[in-house]
Amino acid sequence: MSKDATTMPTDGAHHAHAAPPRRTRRWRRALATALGLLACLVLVGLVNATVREDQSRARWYVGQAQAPVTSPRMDVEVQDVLLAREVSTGLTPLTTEETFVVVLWSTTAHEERIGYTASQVQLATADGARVSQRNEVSQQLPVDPGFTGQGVSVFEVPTDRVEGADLEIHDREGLYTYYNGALRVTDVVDAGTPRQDVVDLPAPTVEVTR
Amino acid sequence: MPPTMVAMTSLGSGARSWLVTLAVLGVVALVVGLAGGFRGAEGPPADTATGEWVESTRWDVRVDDCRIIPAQERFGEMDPPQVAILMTVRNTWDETQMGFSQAMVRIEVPNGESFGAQREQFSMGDAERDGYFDPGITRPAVLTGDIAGGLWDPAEPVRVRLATERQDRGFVTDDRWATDREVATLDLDCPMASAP
Repeated sequence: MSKDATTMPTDGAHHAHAAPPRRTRRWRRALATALGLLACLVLVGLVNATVREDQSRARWYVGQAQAPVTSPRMDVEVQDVLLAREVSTGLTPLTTEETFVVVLWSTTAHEERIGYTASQVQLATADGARVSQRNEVSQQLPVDPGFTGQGVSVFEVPTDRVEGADLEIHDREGLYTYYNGALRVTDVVDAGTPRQDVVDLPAPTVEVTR
Repeated sequence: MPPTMVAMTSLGSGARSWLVTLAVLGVVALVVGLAGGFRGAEGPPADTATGEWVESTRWDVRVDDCRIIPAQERFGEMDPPQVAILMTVRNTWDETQMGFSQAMVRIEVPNGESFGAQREQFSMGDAERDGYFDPGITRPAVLTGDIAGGLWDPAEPVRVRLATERQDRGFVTDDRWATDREVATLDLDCPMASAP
């Protein structure tokens, strides 16, 4: 048998155990890549179909009114809650045919400045609606570590949906903030919550507490 | 033999059958999607009138009135005339809306212009306060659009088309709402408002 015969086999059985031709391997690899990409797209689609990106996933810290509710970033305490048909900050009063829920509450910052936008402070009604505070009359000042800020939030809610509402405060907000901390003060409105015709809203304050 | 066929024949029969199944499902989904997807048969939009409530996806809407606001000078510049649709709206969704939807209203004026979601100079807001609309609260709202193409005979009506919305899920984002299907139309007399 010649040297060529040992290095270049020509029988069919030997071909069956040899590696596939290079072109076949290339196409198989391309096909696997395409399938992998397709699987990624399907995964993104499934996540998007089941998750509402406009609602952040929050770790909740839950407590009740008249006592501090603590998260790693801050303490929040609801001091008082009133119901009203008219609220005023000294300028043009705001009136409603339904009910204003007026919440007086404080924030103590732990390690960094805390500030709020309207949609970070919400009233969650017992039937699941999320009501943002009214910007025209709600007031909270930014609070730095070592300070406690007193503020007021006003929510306009249909009168028959007021009872059993919770106050919810998200500690961060941003277009791509997906995971954050949030505090919930449960049952800030109940059957005994006092109702007034007019509430004069106090100005927000910040004081040193540490 | 073409390279794809070579690749297919070199795959196992199990993988091949999965690929064929996926391909068939993909083609079916594509055909159904191109045909408009699965949805109920739709009737023509109903005619409605001022003062009647129309239900949409996130809103109940009542069109109350229409006015042409004449051109006026402001800060040394002339603002064009505007068409203003006065409405009463109720947010029926489960969260505060930061503004009224532009996807569910379209206005056609007799000079051929129309105002809809894609039109600039189309503003919609609460007539009295910040533009927030809270769940379950009924509030006035006004839609205004600049008239660029000249005024028309006041006897000719302005047409308002109201539609339902669908969440524009896209593939990655889902925070936009788009026009779904028209549910009501109404023709409005639209007199010139008195000068401020």
